Amino acid sequence: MSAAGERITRLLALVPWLRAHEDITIAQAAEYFGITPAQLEKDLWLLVVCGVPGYGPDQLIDIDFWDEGRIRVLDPQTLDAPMRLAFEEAAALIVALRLLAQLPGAPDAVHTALDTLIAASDVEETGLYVAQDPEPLVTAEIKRAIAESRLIRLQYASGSTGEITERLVEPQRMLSTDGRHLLIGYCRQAEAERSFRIDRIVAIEAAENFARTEYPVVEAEPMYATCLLDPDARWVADVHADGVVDEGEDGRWRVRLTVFDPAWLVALMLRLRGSAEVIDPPHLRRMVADAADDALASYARE
Amino acid sequence: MTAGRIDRTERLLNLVVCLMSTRYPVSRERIVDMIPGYAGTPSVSALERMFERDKDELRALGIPIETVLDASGDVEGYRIPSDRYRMEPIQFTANERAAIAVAARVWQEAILGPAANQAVRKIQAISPGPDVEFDQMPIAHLTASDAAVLAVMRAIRGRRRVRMDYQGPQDDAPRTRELDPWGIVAHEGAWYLVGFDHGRSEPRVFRTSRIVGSVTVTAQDQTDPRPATEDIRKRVRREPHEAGTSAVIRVQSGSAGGLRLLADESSDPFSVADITVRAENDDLLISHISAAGAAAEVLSPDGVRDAVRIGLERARDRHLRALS
Repeated sequence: MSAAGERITRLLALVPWLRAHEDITIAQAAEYFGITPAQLEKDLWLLVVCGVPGYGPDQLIDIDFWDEGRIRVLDPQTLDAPMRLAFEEAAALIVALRLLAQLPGAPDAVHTALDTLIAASDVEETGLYVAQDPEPLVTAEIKRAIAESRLIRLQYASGSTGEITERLVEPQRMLSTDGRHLLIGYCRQAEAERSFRIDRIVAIEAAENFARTEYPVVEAEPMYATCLLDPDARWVADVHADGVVDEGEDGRWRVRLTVFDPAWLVALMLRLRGSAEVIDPPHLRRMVADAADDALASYARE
Repeated sequence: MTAGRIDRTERLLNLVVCLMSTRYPVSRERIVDMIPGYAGTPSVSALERMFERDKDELRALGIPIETVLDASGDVEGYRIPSDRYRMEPIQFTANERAAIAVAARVWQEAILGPAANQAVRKIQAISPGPDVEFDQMPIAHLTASDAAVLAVMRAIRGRRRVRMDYQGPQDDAPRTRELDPWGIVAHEGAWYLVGFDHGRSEPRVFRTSRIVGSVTVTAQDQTDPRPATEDIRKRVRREPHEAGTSAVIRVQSGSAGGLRLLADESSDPFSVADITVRAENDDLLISHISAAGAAAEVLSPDGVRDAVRIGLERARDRHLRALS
């Protein structure tokens, strides 16, 4: 979209919006439209010189914005209603509402707003989908525990090591990012806030009611590892890398990975079976070699 | 703004207001005569080009400019019918407006963020009211930032074929693909385009982040019927096929959770167990098992057992090598 096109789209939405928000200030309106107050003032100055042909005083858009930065639309000419929702606009909201609607804790208004919007916009098929939660039973149990303020007893498989642990969690909410579903809560074993991937929950059970534990929020401190990826391990750069540091002439990529848990990096390198290696730091490189050696112990006997 | 020089936005806005203000079509001659900004253009042909460009731009913004023909088939003029332009009055409750505002925030900085925000402004104009906030609401983010997403959405809606350059993870250079797009799916933190690849004559899944440059929506209609939405999702989830491969694995107590979750049978997670794990193909199966390290041992078949052993040896030897 050209700069003029972008501005036209904004101006056509601005006039009816201002009419519905009488006496709003320039600063408030600018913030709402994501532009500077100076730009909003320019927009208003442009609007008041436009109108229907003839362009006499009664034929121009009339907006009063002299009164301490407060805006009042006196005559919108033909711009009294917004343009109907474009396909992308309706689709963006419908996709997001559908996603929210399937998560625990979504109020009824999410469902009714979705129905109204689909009926009004005639956009049933958006072409855009968030992969559905493959664990409806787990999600239902979380939904119940959140609604009834009950503790959740989990058997949880660590994504990095596969280690299974039992946890007692004070559930707070569910988080969904690009089709990855997480339960966020206070873990009484870790004595900290933790997120649990829904697809790594081995068993789940709602337990007794709980009183919320107060706790400080602590950000985990990451470390970084430099790795070398052969061509068939390049997908790692798509999924995990901060950036490709160097694309070697031999087709090997040198990348930097963010590592919150060394065990995650070890499992990744074992999965890649020698088509990638940790270059730095040396102790992580050593850990991969040791873990591979441990795993090989059971294969030594025939 | 200097006197005499009319800003392009001003000209376009006046054109919209003019074409909406009358039920009768307005001819091009009258438009360029009446609307400030067209006057002073050096030649008739330059004026025509200017008007055509303006009209195209407004139509691209979704503004319904109708061309009205007279009895002999010549262009009589243009107009914007109010009922095609105006959003229908919809009433949302305060809670519904709040839900819509939360939905727009799902897109954050993503490619559909501006469209979502614009939709919210329009809804607030048509259905104003006080703001409310929910104290408890699930949180969701969609972060697709590839411009390809927008083009593909339009192609899916219009049932058109698209052309794009795509560099697969093993490819050294991008290759041009032609496909009928069926859907775009967010899965496990990434975005995938699912469609029928005409070069390969089969359905394929593409990662949107590996699309190079822009996606061209062609004038060609899609040929194959679009599968059901659930089938599109399934392709991205890569659910193990019936005809997939499997192995029997001994897993240690309290570990190998990833493999246990994939297993046919459920097992007490805190005991040693022999489980059957399936995957789409051998490579995927061997990857899953290798990642579990010492927590898993392949019992059968021998081929998978050997492959895991050799893979682990390669990983070990490569990490034991002295770095140059």
